[in-house]
Amino acid sequence: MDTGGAAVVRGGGLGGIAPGRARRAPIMLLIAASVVGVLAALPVVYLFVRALEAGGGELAETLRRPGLLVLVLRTAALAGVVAGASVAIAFVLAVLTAATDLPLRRLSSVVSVLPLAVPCYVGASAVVGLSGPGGVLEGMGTARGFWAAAVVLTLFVFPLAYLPLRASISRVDPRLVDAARSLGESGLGATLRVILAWSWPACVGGGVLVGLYTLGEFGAVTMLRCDTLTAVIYEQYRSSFSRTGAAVSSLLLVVLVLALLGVGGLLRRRGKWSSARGSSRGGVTLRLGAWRWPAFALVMLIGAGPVLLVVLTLLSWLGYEGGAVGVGGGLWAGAATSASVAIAAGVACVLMTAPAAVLAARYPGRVSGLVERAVSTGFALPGIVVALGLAFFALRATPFVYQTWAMVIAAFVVLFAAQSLMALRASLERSPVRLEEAARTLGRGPVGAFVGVTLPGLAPGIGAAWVLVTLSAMKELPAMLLLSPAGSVSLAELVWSSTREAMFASAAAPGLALIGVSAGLVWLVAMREGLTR
Amino acid sequence: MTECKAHAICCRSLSKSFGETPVLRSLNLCVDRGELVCLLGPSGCGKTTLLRCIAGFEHPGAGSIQIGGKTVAGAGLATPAAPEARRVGVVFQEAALFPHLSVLGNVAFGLSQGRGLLSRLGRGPGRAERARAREMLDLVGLADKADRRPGELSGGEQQRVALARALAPEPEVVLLDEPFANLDRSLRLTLRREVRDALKACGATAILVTHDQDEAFTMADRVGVMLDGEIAQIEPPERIYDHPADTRVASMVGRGALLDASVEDGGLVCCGLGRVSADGIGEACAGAGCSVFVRPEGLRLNPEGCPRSVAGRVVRVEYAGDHRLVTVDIGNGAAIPVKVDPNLRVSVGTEVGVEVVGPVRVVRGVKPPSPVTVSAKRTADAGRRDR
Repeated sequence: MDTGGAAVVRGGGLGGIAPGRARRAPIMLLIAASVVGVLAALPVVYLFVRALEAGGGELAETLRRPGLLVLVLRTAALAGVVAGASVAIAFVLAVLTAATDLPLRRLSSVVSVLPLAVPCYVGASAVVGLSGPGGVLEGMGTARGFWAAAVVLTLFVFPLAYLPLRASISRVDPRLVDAARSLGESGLGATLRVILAWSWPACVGGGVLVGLYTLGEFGAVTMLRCDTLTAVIYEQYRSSFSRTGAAVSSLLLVVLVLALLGVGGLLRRRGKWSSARGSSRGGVTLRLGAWRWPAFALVMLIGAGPVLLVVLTLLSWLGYEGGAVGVGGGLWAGAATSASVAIAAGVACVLMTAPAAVLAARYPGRVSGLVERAVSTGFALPGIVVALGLAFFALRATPFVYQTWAMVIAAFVVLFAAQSLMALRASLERSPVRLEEAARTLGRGPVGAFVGVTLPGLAPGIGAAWVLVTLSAMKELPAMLLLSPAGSVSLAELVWSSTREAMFASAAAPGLALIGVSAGLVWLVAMREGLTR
Repeated sequence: MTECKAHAICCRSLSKSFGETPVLRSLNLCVDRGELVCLLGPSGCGKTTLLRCIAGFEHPGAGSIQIGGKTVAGAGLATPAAPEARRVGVVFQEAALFPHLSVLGNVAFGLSQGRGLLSRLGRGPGRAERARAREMLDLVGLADKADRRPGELSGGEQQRVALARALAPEPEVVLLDEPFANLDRSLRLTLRREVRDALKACGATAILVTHDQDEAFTMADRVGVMLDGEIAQIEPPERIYDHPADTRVASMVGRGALLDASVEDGGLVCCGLGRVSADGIGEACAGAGCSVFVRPEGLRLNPEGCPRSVAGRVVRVEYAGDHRLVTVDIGNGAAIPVKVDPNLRVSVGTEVGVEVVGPVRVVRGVKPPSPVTVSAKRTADAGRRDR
């Protein structure tokens, strides 16, 4: 017998929600989800308000400040140089670790992200110490300024570009390489051309990520005497008579952020022809031949070299006079402060982004889109801008929270909510709505269904979100510097102030502690990216 | 509405729109206790929306739903009852087993309704619940897989567990939404039988939604043909096949030829196949013009020039193992499908005669603009409805 509707395309299942059919979200969920969005948008909006209030005259005067143009150009140039160099290094390492027969590929992959374990200001602190009086590099007084900052930043942040590049390159469709070779390209040339074309979006994305980081970098650039906008913002804010200036400078930094995102968008569009889908069994393998071990040595040198240098330097400082002081009470107090604030920030972030994640995964629509955009804005903003915006707002609207830990935690939520939102959302989307519906028909109420069926599947996502935020918060320097209550000192601040005062020995212990924390973060990232498998 | 006490489920004048698009149009559906109704329709006809309204995942814009004599939506009810308060079991297309529970845990999930949230979370199913769950697993033949995880089961086994899970709390009605759509063909055939047996063994009332005619015909006590948000006809499968209520149902179910006809005296109609006697002239014919419908097995292929047959030319031959379907052009663009013996070799272009040997039925509904074959028309219809 002929099947009646054989010509008919099968529709979605019972739970299939066709576009435009989205159910309306419960009002309480909308409100709860909007909280984090509003909070994330608050700093930058308030900075605008503040700068506009100042009036045209003051604004123009601030902008005409001598040296401001140079500062803006230097900031942009540093971001450009670091981003370009990072992408170049990251591309080489990603090709070596994902598309060749490099020996010990798992180890090489993990070593390629290892530099993330050194917070830039800790790395800078080591470099400053080494090139100072009595240091190994003594006499290299030139280890200061623009190029020093560019080298140090590149060495420690290029893994931000490596991660997306490696993910992209490991999915290269081998048939493309075959096609290129059949069209007359040589083996190596074909492969590299295909890989570059294929991973172009990841190159741009990674470059933008590094650029954003560099724009907001504060600790390392000030230590290395390469003042960028962040340093000026900090000075202007500290010298309290020029707070409008700080707001204006922050907005300039925001303009640079927007410009960078714009350039990224343009570059990505140029590579649109390469945005093909990855094949499930993707991956090409280049034969390195005699170059296998030299290539391996190169990866180790770039990945592990600087990290080892910094760690050994800090360890040697521990033995110096003052090193013991650093290990003493100050260190423990700092560690306790850092840990408790970071843990609280992790909890706050997960709690505040959970409604937004549920909204985005279950009721996608205009509100969830806006919340997500606000939250990713917070991620793109430099820590110092967020801190400043929140400080201004608190001074005006809620003076009772100014200079309390609540401010610091709020800043961390703004800065890191995107990480938590993405992790939660991803795990929510892995738990289909259908499961909740099935639980409903089996007699559970909406809350019972969520708790009984969805939550068990969410636990790993919640854990990942919390750890990501907590570890990031431990490392964050400028927000801590600007917002922490008077008299309190965190690990990050200890490293910064010790280096500034050239008391390198007392920077050693907190620096090592921070490297330990960051190593945890690196391990987590490496695991999630599948580098350890 | 008192008569609905007799039915397990009763939908009256159900309407529902998504934005401007009406999906259900004043639909009526009553299902007897213990009955298995299959809703057959192309995608976009609203059958899935109907199930979601009955389950309580969507709320109808107008009309009422009664389950087990209790109103759950509409008819003066301020807010529709929540899904968990309806005593409805659902088997989803993709099984939707809880991945963190064992097979037994899945089946026992709906059995702990009396207990508080904390006690449900605190410990697994109790002894009585486990016994009931095992009983249900026995019913679907999976008693030996009780301790497995859903991920370790095959697609067919997952669907059987989903059925056991839906049946365990003894729901008023079980809703099955294309439960076999994701399975391969041979598995589908056995699973149809097993699911029907399990449902009947429990005496469960069930509504199964499908776009597969074989599935609907082999499983259902009654088949409801759903078109454009309403049930065009709901009757036992034989009646649907032999007595399609209108041209739309005739086009959708099985194959055949729809032809323009004019009524003549003595129970005869005049159509492209000549002057033939036809059933149902009085009930379905408004004026002198109407449509008649004839199945491929109601026609015989004769050599060219045979008496009592209409001359035509073979335009297509489809071999189907147990028969051959020959499409004959009888002029005016009318292509008539004729079922013949598989051993009969006919080639395209042969001049033949077509003779009516089986019943010709007058069917209600819009007269086709020109005599068309049903298969061609159906494809066009399906395309239009597929939104």
